[in-house]
Amino acid sequence: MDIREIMERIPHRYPMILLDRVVELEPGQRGVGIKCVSIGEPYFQGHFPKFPIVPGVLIIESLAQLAAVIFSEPPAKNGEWERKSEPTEEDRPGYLAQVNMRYRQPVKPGDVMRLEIELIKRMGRTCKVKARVTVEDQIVAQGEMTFA
Amino acid sequence: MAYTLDQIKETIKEIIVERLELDIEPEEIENEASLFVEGLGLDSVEALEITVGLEETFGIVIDADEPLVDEFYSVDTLADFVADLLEEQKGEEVVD
Repeated sequence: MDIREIMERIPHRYPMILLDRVVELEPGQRGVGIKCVSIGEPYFQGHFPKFPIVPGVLIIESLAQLAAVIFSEPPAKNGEWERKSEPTEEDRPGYLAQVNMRYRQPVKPGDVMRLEIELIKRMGRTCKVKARVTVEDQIVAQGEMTFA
Repeated sequence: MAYTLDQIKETIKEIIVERLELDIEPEEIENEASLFVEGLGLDSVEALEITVGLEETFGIVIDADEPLVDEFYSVDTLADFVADLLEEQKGEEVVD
C-alpha cells in the first residue's frame, strides 16, 4: 500500500502524517509499515539542534497511524476527508487510550523504521495491540497500545 | 488443579487491581458491586484490559464479538462466567 492509498484511509496530513508505506496488511489483525526518517523532518530543527533524534511520542504516532490503517473501514469515499456534513460517531478516528512502550535506542536521520502491529484482543471499538519497531533488525521500541 | 469459585473471585480482584493499577486493595472490591459506570466506574478500555488478564491467567478464550454487559457486571457475575468457560474450554470443574 503506497502513500496515496494510506492517505485515502487516514486523515493525517503534513506535518503529522508519519507513515510512508504499508508492506503487510491483514485488515483487523496485523500489519507492517515503513517510516523513513530524514533530516528534513520539521521537528529536527528543535529536537535537538546538535543531536537530531526522533521524539519517542512520534514513534508512537507512527504506530498509531499504522493501527488506524489496519483497523480502519474501507477507504473514505473518493479518498476525501473534507466534511460536507456534520461528522458522526462513525467518522471519528480511534483515540489512543493507553500506551506502554519501552525504548531501546534512539532513531536518527537516515533510519528506516519498520513498524509492526498485531492485535491482542478486540472488544467492540476497543483494540489492544502489541507493537514493535525495528531499524535494521534492531529493536528500537516495543510495547502495547490500546485504542478506543 | 481445580479452582473454587472463591479462588476465582479473589484472582479476578487481583487482576483488576494490578492491571488497572488501582490504588486500592483487592479485598476492597465487593463481590456484588457494579464494576462499570457506577461502583468502580470502569470503562471499555479497562474492560478490555481485564479480558486480556482473564485470558492469560485462566488460559481461556473470551469471545468478545457480542457485548458482555451482564457477564462483566460484578466480580460475582465475572466469576460465574469464568467458571463456565473453564468447564467448557478446559474441562475443569469448578467447585463451590
